[in-house]
Amino acid sequence: MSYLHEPVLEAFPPFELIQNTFGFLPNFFRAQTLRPDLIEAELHLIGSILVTPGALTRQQKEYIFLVCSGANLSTYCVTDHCEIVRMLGLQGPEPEQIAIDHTATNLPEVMKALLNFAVQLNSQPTKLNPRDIEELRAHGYTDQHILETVVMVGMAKFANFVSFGLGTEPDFDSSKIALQPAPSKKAHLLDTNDRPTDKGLLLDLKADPDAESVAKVRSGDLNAFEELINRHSRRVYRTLVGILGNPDDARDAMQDTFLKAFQHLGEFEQRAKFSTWLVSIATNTGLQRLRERRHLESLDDAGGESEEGFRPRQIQAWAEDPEELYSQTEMRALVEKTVMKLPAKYRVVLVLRDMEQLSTEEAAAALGLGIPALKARLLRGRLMVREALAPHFTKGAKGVTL
Amino acid sequence: MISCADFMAEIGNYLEGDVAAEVRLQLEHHLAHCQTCQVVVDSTRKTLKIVTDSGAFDLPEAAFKPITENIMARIRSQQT
Repeated sequence: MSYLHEPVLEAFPPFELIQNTFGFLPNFFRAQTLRPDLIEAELHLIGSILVTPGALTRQQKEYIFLVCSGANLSTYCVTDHCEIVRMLGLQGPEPEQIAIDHTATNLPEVMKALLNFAVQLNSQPTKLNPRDIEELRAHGYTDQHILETVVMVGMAKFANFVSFGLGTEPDFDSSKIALQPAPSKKAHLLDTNDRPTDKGLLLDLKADPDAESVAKVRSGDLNAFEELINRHSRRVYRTLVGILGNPDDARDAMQDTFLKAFQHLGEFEQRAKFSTWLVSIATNTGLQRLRERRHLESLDDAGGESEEGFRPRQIQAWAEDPEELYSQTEMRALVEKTVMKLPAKYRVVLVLRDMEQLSTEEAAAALGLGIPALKARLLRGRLMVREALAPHFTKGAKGVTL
Repeated sequence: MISCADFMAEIGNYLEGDVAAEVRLQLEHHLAHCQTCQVVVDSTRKTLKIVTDSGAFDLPEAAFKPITENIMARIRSQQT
């Protein structure tokens, strides 16, 4: 399978994790078994750089990995990550096509700009100059996006060169992955429950930064729960105030959320990340309160008005850089006011997707909605916000009182 | 040739980069000739960025201290 001697190792936690995740030990790791500690360190690295959510989406990161691996002609990395992209159910062109020539795909220009940059850094690093960074900024990428991109390119090179040096042969096969989770043991990250939302978590190697605290709470350490509250209070609060629309209710509901989380921690099976699980408890707590309010508009009128056929009314061009027009405080107040005016069913979806940055699948699961319904409501919510913001951001709108 | 209504029906998928090559070509063809739809696409992208960057509803961690203390007190009293 590779150039070097591969000793058979006894039980070693990282192997178990890999085994439970992929159903087998990929050659990339198998080839390094002389130094299990290196494998463990690499798993951490992959977890932090690729899997843990940051400014870039998993899709962007996988695509960066693919274009670099393609440019470096790493058959192993291209083959395996094409399978991973399929397993994750990422929507888009065939991953092989992206690896071969992303410029010929139908990816949006913004995505292509990111991948162009990645390929340039990968293949002509000494020619990189400040204008390339400006180009990314012009496409709306922030410094955090850019940092993560650079680090992803570095990680792709690392993986490509390690697999070249060790002579690893491609081994990923999605049918193998689906069929061989360790049958006797309960897999950590692969669950028999086949909700579509679990798909994206299949490769969540060591990604949950809260796993350790959760384990401590389970063994009776209450201080660890306090740490979890501190770590997530902002997120839970934002979700709740977005749903409920007022700070006092949100504070109350926040208390309920954490108490419920504590009581039900035994049922949390790490098939999702703790933070996602917590946001879904918060969402349900918020929705329940919302339903209890009599005057509230329905969240569930699935029929009702058609989600399609929304006609834009504000059709004047916007300023080049609308965020320059107002101060941060003004922008924040404007967004809060606008979001609060949305009907609840759109507001909830918008808060989870665009503010809490949940994936479509996670948000759909938290709300008990189908993916098409979630997408339709999200689009409607975004378009309604656009209508409301338009008068403030059209060309020449500077100075409009908020 | 597709209409603005056709374009709006696909705009969600278009913005997410989630349309087949053929459809995409039609949409972009329409976009090239339709200023209104150009404005809608551009301003919707900007809207998204504004919403995400706004820091709306965010509070500093310290603001939650009393709530955290309250929650922990309730949990500790249940445990004993």
